[in-house]
Amino acid sequence: MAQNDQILIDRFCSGDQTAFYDLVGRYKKKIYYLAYDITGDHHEAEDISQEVFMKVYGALKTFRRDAKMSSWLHQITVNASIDSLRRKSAKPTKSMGEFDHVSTQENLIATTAHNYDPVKTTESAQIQNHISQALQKISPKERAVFVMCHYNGLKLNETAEILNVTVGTVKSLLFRAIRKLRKELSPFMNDYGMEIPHE
Amino acid sequence: MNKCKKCRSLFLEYFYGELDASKKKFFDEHLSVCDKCKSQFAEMEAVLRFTGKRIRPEPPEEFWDSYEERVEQRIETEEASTVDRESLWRSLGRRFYLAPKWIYQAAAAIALIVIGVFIGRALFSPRITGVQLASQRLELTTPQQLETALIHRSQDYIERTKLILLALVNFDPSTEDPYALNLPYQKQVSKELVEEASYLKKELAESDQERLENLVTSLEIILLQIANLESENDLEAIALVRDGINRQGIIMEINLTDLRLFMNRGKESESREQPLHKPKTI
Repeated sequence: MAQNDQILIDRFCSGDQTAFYDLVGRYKKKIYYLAYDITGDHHEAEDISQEVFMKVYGALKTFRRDAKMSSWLHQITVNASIDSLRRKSAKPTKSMGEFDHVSTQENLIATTAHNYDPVKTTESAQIQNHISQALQKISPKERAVFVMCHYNGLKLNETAEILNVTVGTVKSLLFRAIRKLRKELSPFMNDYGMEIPHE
Repeated sequence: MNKCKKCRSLFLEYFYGELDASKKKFFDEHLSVCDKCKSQFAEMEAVLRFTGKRIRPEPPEEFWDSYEERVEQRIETEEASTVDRESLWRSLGRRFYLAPKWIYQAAAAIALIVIGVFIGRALFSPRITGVQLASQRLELTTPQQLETALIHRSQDYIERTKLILLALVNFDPSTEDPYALNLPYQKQVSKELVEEASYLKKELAESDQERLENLVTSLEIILLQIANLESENDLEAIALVRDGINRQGIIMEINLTDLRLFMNRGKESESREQPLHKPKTI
């Protein structure tokens, strides 16, 4: 465990409540981003990330000192996000694609306002849309593994540790996710000059 | 071939830069000589590079500034509701603990009475038979219709009783197992028929169907004997009932009544049809 995490936990255990909020400040973005990448929904991601910290608050005093805080947080987040996706699959709400598409368009317009190129902006928004829709086509577990490794910078062995599986299983889930994404994205990749080489 | 397999197993580690120097060297060397692995890796790499173009929308700065505050609020709300739940249970427990003893006794007595009433109603209340229900539902208006319905009900009653009696009359204890008679079922049906007889007799008396009333009365007595049989192995009692049926010629009486009712019905239909056959007078 990082030295700083341990200090914060010790402070919290000795009655310093602010230590917990320092911990929240340290991990809030990582947890929110991971939940967002898996669920594709801003409100859901905020709710899940807050729930994660509430769980941590209740269990921090009994947290094992040899365990890794970030792994524990990621583990709770992934489980909560997968559960949320499974619950949602029964009652369809705003899709990942819709949210990503609209928000990304707003985001892109906002960030590139000083150097606004309508053609490039539209093209980028379309790419975002295709990727978001393709991500929706893969299973919650495959999506979780893919976003952990691909968008959240977690190493294969870290992902395996968080999911409590072997590195081989992580690789197998990743390969499956990539194969499905390739199938979904190959028609568009050619349009954007990223042709897939064939065997 | 083995090298290809090993190389493919390292695709992901290579792409994410997780290979140590020796494995990376092996990978690069193999890829430079194996076109198949090179093409497969390029294929995977293209998908990963394209998906890497995804831009995650960033929430506004205010979202992050007030994040800890919102977590704190949720924790406080959660803690308050937990305290409320706990105090509710505590106060309920205290209230029950402090209640006088007679309240428990009264509550237990009331619960027992309620359960008793439910069981009693379920087991002993008279059941309405299908025929009774049907007659209740029928909207009969004329006396003729009422009488016809009553006769039909009597016929149905006699028919059902006949089946019970025939089962007993045809039972031969020297060759048949008493269990084959299924006496518990016969007793149950007999009990229901006895209950039904009381309503039927009253209605037959009111509509001057004396012969039918007498037959139903005779049948009621025999059915009562069957309903009161002690056990299915009481062969003597079964024999006594059977002798009574034979002695009184009940089966014969039933058959004659059937025949009479059948003939009456024929006459009735003839009289209804007669005007149709009359020659037209001009």
